[in-house]
Amino acid sequence: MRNVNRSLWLWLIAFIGVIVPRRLRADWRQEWEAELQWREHQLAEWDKLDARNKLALLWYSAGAFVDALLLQPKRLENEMFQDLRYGVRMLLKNPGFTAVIVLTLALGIGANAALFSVVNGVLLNPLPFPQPDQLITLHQSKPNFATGAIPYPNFRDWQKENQTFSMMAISRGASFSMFGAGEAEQVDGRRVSADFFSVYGVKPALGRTFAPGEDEPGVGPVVVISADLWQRKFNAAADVLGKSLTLDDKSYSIIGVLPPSFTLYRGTDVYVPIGQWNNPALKNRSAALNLHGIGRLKPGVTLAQAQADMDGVMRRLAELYPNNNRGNGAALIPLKERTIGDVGRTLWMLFGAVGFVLLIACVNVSNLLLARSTGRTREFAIRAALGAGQWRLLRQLLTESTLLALLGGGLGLLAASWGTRAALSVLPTALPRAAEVRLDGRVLLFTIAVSLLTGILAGLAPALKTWQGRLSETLKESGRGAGGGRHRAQGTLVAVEMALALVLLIGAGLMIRTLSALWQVDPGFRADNVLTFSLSFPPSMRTASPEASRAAVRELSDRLNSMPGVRAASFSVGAIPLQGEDDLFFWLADQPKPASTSEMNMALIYRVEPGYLTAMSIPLKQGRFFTNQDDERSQPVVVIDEVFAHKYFGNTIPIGKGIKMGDDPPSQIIGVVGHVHQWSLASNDSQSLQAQLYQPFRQLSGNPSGVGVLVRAQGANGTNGSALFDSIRHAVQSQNSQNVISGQQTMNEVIADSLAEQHFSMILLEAFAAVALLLASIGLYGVISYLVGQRTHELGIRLALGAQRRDLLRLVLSHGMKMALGGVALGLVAALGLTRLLTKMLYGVSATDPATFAVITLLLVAVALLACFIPARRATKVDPLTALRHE
Amino acid sequence: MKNPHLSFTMAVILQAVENGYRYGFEILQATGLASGTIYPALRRLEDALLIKSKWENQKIAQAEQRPARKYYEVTKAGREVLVEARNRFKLLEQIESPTDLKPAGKAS
Repeated sequence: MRNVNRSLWLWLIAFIGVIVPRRLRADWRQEWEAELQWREHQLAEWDKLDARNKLALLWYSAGAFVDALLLQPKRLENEMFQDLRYGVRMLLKNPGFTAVIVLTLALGIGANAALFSVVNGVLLNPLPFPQPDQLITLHQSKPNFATGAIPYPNFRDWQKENQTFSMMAISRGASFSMFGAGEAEQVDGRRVSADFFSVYGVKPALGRTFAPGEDEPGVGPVVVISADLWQRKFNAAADVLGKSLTLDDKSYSIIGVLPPSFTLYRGTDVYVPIGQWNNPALKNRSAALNLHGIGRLKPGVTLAQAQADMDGVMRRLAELYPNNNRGNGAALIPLKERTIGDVGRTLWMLFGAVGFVLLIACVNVSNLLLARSTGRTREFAIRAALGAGQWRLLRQLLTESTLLALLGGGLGLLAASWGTRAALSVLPTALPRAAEVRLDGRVLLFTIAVSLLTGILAGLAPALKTWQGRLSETLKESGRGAGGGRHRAQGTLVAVEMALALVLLIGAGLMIRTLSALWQVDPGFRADNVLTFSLSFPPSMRTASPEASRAAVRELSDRLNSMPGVRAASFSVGAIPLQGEDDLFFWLADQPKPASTSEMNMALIYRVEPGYLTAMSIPLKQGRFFTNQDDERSQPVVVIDEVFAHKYFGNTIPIGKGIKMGDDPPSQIIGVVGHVHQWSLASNDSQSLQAQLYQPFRQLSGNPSGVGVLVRAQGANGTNGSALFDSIRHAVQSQNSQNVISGQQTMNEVIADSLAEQHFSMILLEAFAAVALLLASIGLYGVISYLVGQRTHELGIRLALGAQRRDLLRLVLSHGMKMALGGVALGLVAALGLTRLLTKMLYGVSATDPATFAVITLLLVAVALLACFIPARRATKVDPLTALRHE
Repeated sequence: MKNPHLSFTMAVILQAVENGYRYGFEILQATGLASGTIYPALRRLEDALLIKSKWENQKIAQAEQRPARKYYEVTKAGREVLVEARNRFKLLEQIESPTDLKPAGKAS
């Protein structure tokens, strides 16, 4: 090199080169130097190395700074890649360790992803309709019901007079016997007003929905069918439009098919205009008929404005029709709120619980990583000695834990997609909007975020320990006895785990107590061996003479009652405990008729046959129950329950008194029976309507189109349940093949369904608590095993110095139990605070129930003792000679 | 790698390499761009596999008493991208090929 003096620009390149990533530095410098030197040499040769050209060269070399700056991202990219590769190598080196961690995290993250997909589908996602926030459900509030049904004439007035809704519709559930599409069957349907689908903004998949005015009486019968029925009965044929479908006794022409996405009324297959309902009560301003409304707010209108508007409408209606409307109001509830009900509280509680499981998994993984980082102290010390910065080592540990968490998250997501489906299929009635629960983008994003967070959280403790550790000193030591601080950290983590597990266990314990208390609630009837189902009579029955109809129904009843194994059977119209509600207005016969219905009394009404009392095992308290002689020819009679008797007759004997239910002659009270839980097992008492009234089925006027049936039979619950059912079906259809049975359930199943939400919470809490207990005890076991391993040398010396094996056992056990008991103390305090959140879900047990707390604490301590005992026993097996030679 | 859409500057540099300007300073003289533009662009083109680099034969460098130079040449993928870039940037055709190994630099 001729130009020996290193020129300014070459110094500059050397200087700037410092910030170039080390891997690229040598090449980078050479490239720049080669070109600068050559150019300088060339200029010197041409004798042009003047100030101007020197400046140009300096300017040229300044570009190197820009170049070096733009190479900075490579530094990160490069080291991150190295960290990652190194991390993968480390994880593959210990496949067992990696598998345990990934599985632990998969459990924690998977459970969270699963529950989040439920929370997301049920609570967070908007309802699947355009502008779903404008959809408001409409009800009429009455003295006994905040959300009662709307009499049809009132609804027509609401529709006309309101100023705040762009559209309003009304509907009610109905059940039809369907003919004309294969075998006759019972289908669920809805009677709806013309605007029904327009309010929801539902576009048909095929054909059209109802046109304005098509819901008036006398218009040609048309029907809109569900996508499911279209598929099931018509093989999704496009020419289904115009075909006819016979529902009960009327032939309807199919005008449209709904899209499969319309799942608001699951299981509902046919929608018919309400005008096709030949029910004179539709003109009655006091007949509720289970009609509920749905409205779409005009854009920009708030719920409060709509409520004020509807209050005004109802005030005018009360002035116009005081008899029927005084004391009534309009109740407006957003559709989403109405759909979700109070399941939100349960879901958020469970989401909190599952968060605990993840925390425990995190702590466990953290502990395992901490234990391993202790083993890797020398590795890190060597890397530090070779020039790795502390940031770099910290990043290495976090990269590894994040890698583990992402692996666990991936596996967890798989488990979640399977688990969610499984859980929802086990308890389909527990959740509203269950059909909308799925793994969508938001769930995916949540899982990734949770995985990353988990990775950082789990990696933090070991990373920080490494940060604090004086690495260079570790190199000088042999490693033994180092890391007392680490043991403390591990101990703290185990205590935290135990505390979290205890909180979950106590929560689960309280839910178990709740459910068992609910199962022990006496509903007022005996559910064992009772079958219930619906029975629809042939359409021809409706037009038959009253005598013929009566004879057919009575013959069927006699057939059922005389079947082998059947102890009692009863038809039922009206309310059925825990299944369906029906009520009526009445006043006492010795009092004047009240001026308006709002001043009348209300009672639940059960219209049943003589066998009902035996079928349901309801005790008779006074007088007698119905006989077959209480029929259309005899004096009208009723039976009341104890609540009715106490409320309206106090301590006087009600037998022989009369009640009026309309303009008919008074009915005489002939008996008093026990009270029955109509509403639910848990919150029955919170309902204001409790008085119960029984009427003889045989004294009903008009031809029934269908009835509920209750049958008490030997072995109905057992394995012959289905055989019994088959013979009932056979008996019913041998009388008339157009008798249709549907909705068969045992009464025990009805009760189980009514407890589905509590059951769902209990199962999930139990599962979470079991996982928590397992993880926490594995954590405790791991830490104690690890400590025993670390202290082999010390234990050997103790033995050599004359310690008994008993002493060693006690030493190790006491060490473990100190951590466990610390955790238990912490957990008890936390549980006392947190179980209060459960209060509203509990029944028959207080949120701080001492027995539950005590039993669960003992359980946890016992498990902890076991987890410590296994490694402790190993400690006593230490051979002093081997232990001492170990070094 | 998917062919990226080149900016005009990147396309000019790629075209210069294609025309036979093989190292940074040559490209600077051919295009008039600043060194702070050219070198980062070369790195990006190389990362995108549109050009590749190799070190000059050590003996030649020694004979000229300087460190070995880094030479760039256009890859097959780079040529494909250039065809597309030339359709977009008609000006690219104005970049000449070096007539002589000794550049007719403005400074000379």
